[in-house]
Amino acid sequence: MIKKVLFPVSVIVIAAMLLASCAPAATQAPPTSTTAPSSPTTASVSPTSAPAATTAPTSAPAATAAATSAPAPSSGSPVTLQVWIYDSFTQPGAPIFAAVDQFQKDNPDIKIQLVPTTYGSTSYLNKYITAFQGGSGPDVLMSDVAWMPELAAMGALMQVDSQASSDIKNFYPGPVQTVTYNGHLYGLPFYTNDVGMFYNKTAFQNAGLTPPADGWTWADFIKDAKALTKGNMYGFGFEGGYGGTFEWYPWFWQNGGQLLNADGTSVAFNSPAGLEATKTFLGLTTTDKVVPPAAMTWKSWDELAAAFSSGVIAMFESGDYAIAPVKKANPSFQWGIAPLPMNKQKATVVGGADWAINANSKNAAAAYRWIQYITGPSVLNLMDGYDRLAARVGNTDQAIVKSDPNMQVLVSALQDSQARPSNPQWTNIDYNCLEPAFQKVLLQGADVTTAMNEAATCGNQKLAKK
Amino acid sequence: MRHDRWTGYLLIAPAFLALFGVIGYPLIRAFLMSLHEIILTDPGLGQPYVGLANYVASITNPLFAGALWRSAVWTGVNLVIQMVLGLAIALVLNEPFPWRGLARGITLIPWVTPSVVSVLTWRWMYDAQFGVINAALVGLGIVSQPVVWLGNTQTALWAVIGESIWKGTPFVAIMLLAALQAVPNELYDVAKVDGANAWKRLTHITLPLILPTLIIAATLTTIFTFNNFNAIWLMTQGGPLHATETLTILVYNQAFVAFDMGQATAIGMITFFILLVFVAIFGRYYIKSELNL
Repeated sequence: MIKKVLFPVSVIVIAAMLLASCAPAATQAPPTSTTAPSSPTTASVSPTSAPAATTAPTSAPAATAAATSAPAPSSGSPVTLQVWIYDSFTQPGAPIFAAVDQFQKDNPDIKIQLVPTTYGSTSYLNKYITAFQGGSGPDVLMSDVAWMPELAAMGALMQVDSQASSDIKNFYPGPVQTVTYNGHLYGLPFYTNDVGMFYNKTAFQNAGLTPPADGWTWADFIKDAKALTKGNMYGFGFEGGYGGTFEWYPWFWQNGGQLLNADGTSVAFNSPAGLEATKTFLGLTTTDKVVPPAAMTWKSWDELAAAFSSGVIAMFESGDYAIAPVKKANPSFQWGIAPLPMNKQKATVVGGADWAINANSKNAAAAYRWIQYITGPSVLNLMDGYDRLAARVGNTDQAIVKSDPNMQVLVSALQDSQARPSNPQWTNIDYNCLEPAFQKVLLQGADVTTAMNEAATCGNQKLAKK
Repeated sequence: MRHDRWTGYLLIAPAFLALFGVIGYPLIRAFLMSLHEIILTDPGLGQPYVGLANYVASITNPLFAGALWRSAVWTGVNLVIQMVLGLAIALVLNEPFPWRGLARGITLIPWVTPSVVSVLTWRWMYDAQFGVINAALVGLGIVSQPVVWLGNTQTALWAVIGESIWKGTPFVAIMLLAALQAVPNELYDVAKVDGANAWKRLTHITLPLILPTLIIAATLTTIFTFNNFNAIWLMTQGGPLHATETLTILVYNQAFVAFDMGQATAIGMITFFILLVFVAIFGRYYIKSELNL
């Protein structure tokens, strides 16, 4: 009797489990799976936009679409904009909520619906690409500067040349580069950052070392890191879960390396200068042993900040975004930020975020008003609330820059900052060629030259595909 | 009475349609997708029909053989250890002892713990800097340096399997315990009178009588483990260097990291047919046992 019930039940259970193996197909099919319309007035997600997935969206009509849809909001109910934002920007009481309130007060015809989304290449970038290709996705998104070229090349972002022509003058040239692809504008810059060396002042003092200062060299750094590595403390740490590619960029540029050749048709990172920099950087782990083995699984700034604050590592490379986590951990020692050590030249890596509009958005005009506002004059104030530096001219007047010497170090290093290539394949090369190569060296003791040449072959294949 | 048959069909029609909607349609759609080249990041490509090219590309992809092997190790080791441990726990819990009810309840805790909670806890336990496992191993002098369980290509798969065994064994134990309770005590009494020792009673009475449940539990564990995505993804995302990339993780990576839906669905279909073999064994056994009874 029990068996007779059990049989059909287990058949259904098994069928459901089998179905899980085809999950990607199943979840990919419904285009609105990641973004459910929240209110009847929402015009942002429309099933009729689904066919866009199969055709190449051209960015040219963007300006005209914006122009024609401009009068629409004045009549009828307000439009709701779905806005993707890093989840770290929407903690309870975060400054963004006051900004949204102010914007809605000034623009009664627009409602902002923030959709906090976990930052990360799979959790944010890939999720957006999937939603976009399914014909949906948010109206507006905050995007890492590193993702912009790939998204623009894919046609996933709306071109804003005509609307942004005057606004764009309010931003520094570096950040403007990050919203520019093939000579066209695809958004407005939000904030910018570079990387410095967080260091444990007390540990330096206890070891009898001179604290790092502008102009210190690789040799100084390695000597200090070795001296700091004793007991339970290691001299340095990085995001080993990603092979440390992000922390490697400054070392590469400090040694005068070029990531791509002049016309962007092949990679150049396995040049002698590049190999030397890579050997030095990865050697910190493999030969100098100043990096804790535990670092090989670290994948977030929170983990690094935790390791730093608990005295596991005495130094790590990071930007202003790590200031808040370290402050929050309330370390029992004095700490500060120094410029990165230099070799042939000084260099640091520029990062940050931009605001962009989904090429599928039906509310382009309203969407532009939001990104214009959120990157407008009030952004200086907003960014103070996040301990970050706005990309807008005038950011040196931000309260946080004036009051925080660590911030001043990072701001003055901006002049030595370099950007990752705006080639749409670069993120792909970083994640799928360089990262595995570094991990082979770090985890399996592979030879740096061999691994980098493999990465170069891999990178050239990706460049040739496009 | 012919119309009665039609009434019957009519009555099962809603259930059939619902099943088709959630199983049949996605399956057919996945199969069709696997015959086309679909690269989400390259919409200009269109979706050309490529026949079995995705299957050829999948099978010749060096990552596929590795993932297939890891799926086999992952499923096989999980299955054997979970069955043996589960049976042992069930036998113990079937014996009368004080606080048995409480012990049975505690046994279920790993199984009812949400997957995310369990995986994140284990990730901390495995941590090389702060993890309790390394603290214990170093403290007892078994290792001199902490082992980076999840950041080492040699240990990552075993570490992930460890969590999965902890989480999956209670299910097996409880299923077998239910079967054990259905074994009539008279049989053991008779066997004792005949002079059968504990081992003989286990192999001649207990195991044959719980065999049907044992096979169901084994099949369900196999399918569940083979398809398990979150245990691996939340702990290592298939890394480092593909060391924990099973077929399920490979499908995800092809679909939502590489955005190659054609190859992803092709691998998904291959996975489906591998699992179908297990279901066939299960179904055959079931029909047979139904007929015998």
